Amino acid sequence: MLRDISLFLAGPGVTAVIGPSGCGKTTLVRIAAGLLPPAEGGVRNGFGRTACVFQEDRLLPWRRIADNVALGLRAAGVSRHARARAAAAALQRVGLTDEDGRSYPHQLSGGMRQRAALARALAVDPDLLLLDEPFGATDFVRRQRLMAVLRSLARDNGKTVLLVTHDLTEAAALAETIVVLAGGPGRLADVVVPETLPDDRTPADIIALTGRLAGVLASGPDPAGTTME
Amino acid sequence: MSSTSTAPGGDRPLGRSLRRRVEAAAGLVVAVGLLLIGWQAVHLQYGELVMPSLRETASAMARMAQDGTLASAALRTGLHALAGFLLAAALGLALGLSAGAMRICEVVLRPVATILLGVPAIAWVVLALLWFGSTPATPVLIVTLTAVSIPFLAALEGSHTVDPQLVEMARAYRAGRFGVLRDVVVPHVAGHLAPALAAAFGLSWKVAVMAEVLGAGAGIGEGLALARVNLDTATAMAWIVLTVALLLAVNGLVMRPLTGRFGHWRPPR
Repeated sequence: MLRDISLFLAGPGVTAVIGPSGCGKTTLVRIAAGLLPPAEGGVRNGFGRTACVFQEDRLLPWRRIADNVALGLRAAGVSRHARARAAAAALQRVGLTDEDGRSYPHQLSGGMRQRAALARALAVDPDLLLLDEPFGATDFVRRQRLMAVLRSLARDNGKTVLLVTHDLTEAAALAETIVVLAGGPGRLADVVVPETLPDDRTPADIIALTGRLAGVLASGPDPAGTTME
Repeated sequence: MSSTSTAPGGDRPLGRSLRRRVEAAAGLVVAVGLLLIGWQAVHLQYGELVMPSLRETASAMARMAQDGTLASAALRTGLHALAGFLLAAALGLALGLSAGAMRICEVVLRPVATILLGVPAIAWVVLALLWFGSTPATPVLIVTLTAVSIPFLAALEGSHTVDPQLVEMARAYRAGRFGVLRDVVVPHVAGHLAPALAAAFGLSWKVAVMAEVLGAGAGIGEGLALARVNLDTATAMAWIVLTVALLLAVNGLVMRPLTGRFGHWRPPR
């Protein structure tokens, strides 16, 4: 899937990974999360706590949303009371209500479930947050708000975020560093570090940066045979 | 993909569930009424020996209820069925989960379960009587052997259909082996197991009666066999009514609510 990739994340801030579909973006996240051992090389994770948001919401259908959100805390041995408080705070941060927290996953829309999955990651107060296309099912307005949440995590809470996305605008709006992968097998095409910091970028900057990223993607070392998502 | 409704408390609207209950109750009354009418019609057409009248059956039942035969027979049959069922459930669950976890267990046990499922219950009755004679354990053993494959196969199927994505998620959130078992595997398997257990209990009940008819022990079946010898159709019908009524009662009052408890997180059908 992936070949000759070495990635060093020095927090805080957002690093985005973009690339054509099938270039191994998801594999990269799974390796970083320690869920998949790399065939060669290794992963050194110096961050205290790591949390992962998958492409699918992966909520337990038999647990209420609040219990799903508290899942990582339970494994960490946090008391029931503290778990409930942390879960409620995380839900509020992604714009879900206490009532949503009492629902079962099947009672919420796809976008709400996706936000619950993000809340589950936020609840463990991770130092490193791994996000694999986390906003797939969310509508435009929600997406803007969640992006603001991510920026605030990086800026105000000093967190490190690795964001895998196929949306160039998302990468252009959020990331300090943008890693561009090329397909078949996935390898590093370019690393783009824009002059402006994400919080200082104007809409015009973001549009220009998106265009620049599209250019890098199109002129990747192996343009033949790769398809854009 | 899914509805966006967020009913408070997460339950389906009360009105709809109440209407369903009323509908179900009305359906039951109509069905039983039709069966009783058919019963009485057969009686009027073919006479007492083929089919006793409703009144005759009711009085046979009342007589047995009064002298205590009804209660003691029901108790014995219930014990046979319940003990056999519990044994089958525990054994089937333990073996099914091990087979789900270990390939070697599955390779060996799955054909065994399939073969057991294929052996007619009546064959177990004959064998158990030959092996053990008429001891209190005989009907229990017959029930266990007949029913054990059902929970076994359900547990096996359940442990195979656990969503690997959920397991990976649980691991990513640092749930240990036990955590994965508690939060992912067990709730999933329970959803598969509950209907299988209800089916296994129904089977246990009927097999217990059958084993008793063939002389494996005292109980409702013994009463049925005696009624057959005496050509007493009214008593036979009384026993049959008792068997069905008790099974329906256990299903409705114990099994259904239990199944519901395991399925409460599912979207309403």
